[in-house]
Amino acid sequence: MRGTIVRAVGVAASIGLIAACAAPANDAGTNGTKKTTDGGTIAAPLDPTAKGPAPEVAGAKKGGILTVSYASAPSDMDPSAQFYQDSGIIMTRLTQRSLTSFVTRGGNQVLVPDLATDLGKTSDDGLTWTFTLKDGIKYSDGTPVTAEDIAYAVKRSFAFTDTGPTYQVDFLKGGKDAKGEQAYKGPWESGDSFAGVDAPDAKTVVFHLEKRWETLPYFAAFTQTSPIPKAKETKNRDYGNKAVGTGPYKIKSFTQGAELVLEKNTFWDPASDASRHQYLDGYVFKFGQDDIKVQQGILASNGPDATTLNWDAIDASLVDQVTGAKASQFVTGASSCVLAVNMDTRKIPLPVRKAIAAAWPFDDINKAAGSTPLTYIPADTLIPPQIPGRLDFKVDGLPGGKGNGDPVKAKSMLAAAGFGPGKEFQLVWYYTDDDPSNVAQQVNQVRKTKLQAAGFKVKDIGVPNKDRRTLIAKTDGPHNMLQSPRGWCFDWPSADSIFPPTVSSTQIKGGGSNWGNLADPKVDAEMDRILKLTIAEQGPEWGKFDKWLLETYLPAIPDSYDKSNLLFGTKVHNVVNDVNHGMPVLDGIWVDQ
Amino acid sequence: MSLGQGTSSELASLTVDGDPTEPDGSAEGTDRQHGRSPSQIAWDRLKGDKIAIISFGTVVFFVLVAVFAPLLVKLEGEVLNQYHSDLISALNTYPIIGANTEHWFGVEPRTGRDLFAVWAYGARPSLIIGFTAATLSTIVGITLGLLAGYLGGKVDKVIGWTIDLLLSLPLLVVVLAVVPVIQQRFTPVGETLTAEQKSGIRFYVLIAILVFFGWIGLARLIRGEVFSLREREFVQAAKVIGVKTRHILFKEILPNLVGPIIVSASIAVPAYITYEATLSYLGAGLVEPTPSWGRTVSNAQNAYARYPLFLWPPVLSIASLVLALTMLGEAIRDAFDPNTRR
Repeated sequence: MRGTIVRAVGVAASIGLIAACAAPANDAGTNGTKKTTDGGTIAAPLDPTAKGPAPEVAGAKKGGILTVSYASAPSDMDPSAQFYQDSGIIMTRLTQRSLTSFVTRGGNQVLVPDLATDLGKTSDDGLTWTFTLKDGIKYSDGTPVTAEDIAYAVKRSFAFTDTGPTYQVDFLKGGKDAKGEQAYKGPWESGDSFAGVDAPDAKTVVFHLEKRWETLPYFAAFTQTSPIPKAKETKNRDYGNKAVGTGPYKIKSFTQGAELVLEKNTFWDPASDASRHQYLDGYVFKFGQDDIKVQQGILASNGPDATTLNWDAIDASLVDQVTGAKASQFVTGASSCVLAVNMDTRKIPLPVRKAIAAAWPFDDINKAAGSTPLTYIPADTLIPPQIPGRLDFKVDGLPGGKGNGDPVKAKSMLAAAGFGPGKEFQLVWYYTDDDPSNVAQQVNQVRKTKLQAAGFKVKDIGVPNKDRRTLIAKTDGPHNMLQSPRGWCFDWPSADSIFPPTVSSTQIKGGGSNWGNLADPKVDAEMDRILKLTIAEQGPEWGKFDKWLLETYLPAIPDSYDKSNLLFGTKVHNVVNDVNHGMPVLDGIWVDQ
Repeated sequence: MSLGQGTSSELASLTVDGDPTEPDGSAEGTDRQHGRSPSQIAWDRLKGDKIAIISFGTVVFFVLVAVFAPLLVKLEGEVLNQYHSDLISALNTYPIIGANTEHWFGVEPRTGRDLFAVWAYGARPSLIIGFTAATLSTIVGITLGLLAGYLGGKVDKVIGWTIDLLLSLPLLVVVLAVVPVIQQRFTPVGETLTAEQKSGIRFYVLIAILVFFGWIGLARLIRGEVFSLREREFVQAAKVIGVKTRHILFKEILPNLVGPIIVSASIAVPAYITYEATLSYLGAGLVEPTPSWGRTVSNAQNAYARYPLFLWPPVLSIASLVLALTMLGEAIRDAFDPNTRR
């Protein structure tokens, strides 16, 4: 399993706001955030009976085009390979329907049936899940959708596990061999026969599991369960450039790295869809834009900028505007990502890890990175606040993502651990040294200076950004901290999409997605125990696990909960943050013409 | 910006009338200039040129800032690259203070570094690179120009080809591509460089590249001049009585070329300073934490609307220093030009 990894893209790079998911995005203002940070609310309850059409947005007008301009660029629009924040939200809200889907109700996300009539029925032993399709669903070219297309799509997703999700490999029967390696490699390489999923008739999809998977209905909201007609697909990612879909919009054109244009899908039936709308005539996504210029343009809202939206982190120079006179053009809220200071538990002993936590200059680093209260919330835990069952706790000795570190205390902790002048403990990390805005380099200087002041010896290895991603993912490099991942974005609102992908001993060989490069049988056993519980029972247990893990192992220092930032022109309305994805609910947006 | 090559055409006019060793025709008869060397005449003229004096004063000012940067910063009560994060607002990462007695130019947004210290130390790479590269490229240009012009034949052809080749390269593109490559060459295998080491290497690479491309204009100019000079009687005479080639080149021919050489060098300095700033701005120059005006400009441009104090000192400094050097170069050119009479 991988989950959506924060790999640090773009300018904010070294401090990492941006996820593998392209950009941090946002939510419905302070209300939404408060509600979720109180904890305890179930962020995504299930509503198996929801029926289409989706309730109208008050005052919504039809027509017009929304332009979405932002800094990064999705490499493809293939539903089987999709695992990023930006392409994910574009597909799930606009072009592709899956077995289940999320709908925003009162600032919270609710899981509802989509192509399926309910949220799936599980067998008594929990090893079989059955979904029944709704009648009359058609592709954007008018041809009918069959259950076989969904089974085929699930199989096809096995061919994209290098960049896509791998939950299906872990849980579906026949996904792995006895050694734990991926056994089924997708229909092109391994053929059509796969025990994990089948379609006994045109309306039924059945999943056969290797082990219990209580959160499968959440996975069913991934585009990996969006139907793909075998006859029309190309055997590579190019299929995504003009994929047929079932959503309210279809792809008119996709130019990688530049632009995606969507137009209405006339075969989409609102009565069958409980979660989506079709207010706009179309959407234009512009990739690789200079985010600061886009944001300045949106705030001025002249001409086409008035109907433009941007989901990059708001530039610090514009903070005063969006918290003051232009507050109505800005929405911020929870995103699904938690950022943390990752340390290699194999190379740095626990007392030294604690000393690092004591010395870590959170505030200075956030300032140097241009992070503001609009873009992050200091974090105490590895589970973000909107996850049900999350425990709100503070670990003794952890600063909770705030403050500037205590060099004196850190020095005494190091001395107690046997390190001091003449025998300093050396920290080794990679940093980006070719960031054109110099932010990454300056953040590194601040971090280095402060840790040296706390008695550490620091070796900082500057590398180009494009190499850095690969280097920090290596588990056998010279570095002993700040390895990949920089953060983790949950895939669905349950911590089983947080911990098993990040602290399992099986994750270490893949590299790049493990907190602390942890490989501890006790941790594995505890996770196995929790995974056997029902969703409702799992929540609080994961909360306790979070506390236990940080107190006992401290594989990473929780740093901040990422926030989504949505900035839009004066003619854009009903921009609501999806708290589970940190992106706008795109289909609910309407514009003045 | 031309890297010196462009200056050859404007310099050519200096030497059209050729031989400065001959009595200056128009000046003949005036006591003041009678029997004086061209350099002395030029010096007299320069002393009376107000623009030249002001420009010279400006250059001296920046040189003093660079030389005494540590002292000035100490006077301010600051240290270079000290991060005053407490002066940065957590709300928008901009400074909560402006210019004051403790921070003469305020502090840098986000990091809180003292901007006066960054500015004062930032003068150093500009000036060192500008003057060093100008000196070296002048020496190389003179030598190769003399050789090509005097020896002619194969030597001239080889140098000529090299010049043509270098002229045909798109300079900026080459530099952007070459800087990281050379930096890699100087990195020991399996080792990694700290930011300070990297900046040190970049510093010398920049000088080397500027010299590598900078000698061309002067060499072409000198070569042309030598072509005409070597047929003159005094050179022929020296040859006939068996004076060594080296002696002829440096004692007979070179003194006649002092004017264009000084002018070329004085125009090269501002060009190189601009180049250093440009490359640092584009990310191919010096790296953090070494201060450089070019990089400060690059860092400051997006913050300009919110915090103009960040951008103004380096921009004004680069502008006035380059302007002063250029004006000074012009004044020197005029002073040496026998055609200019005021």
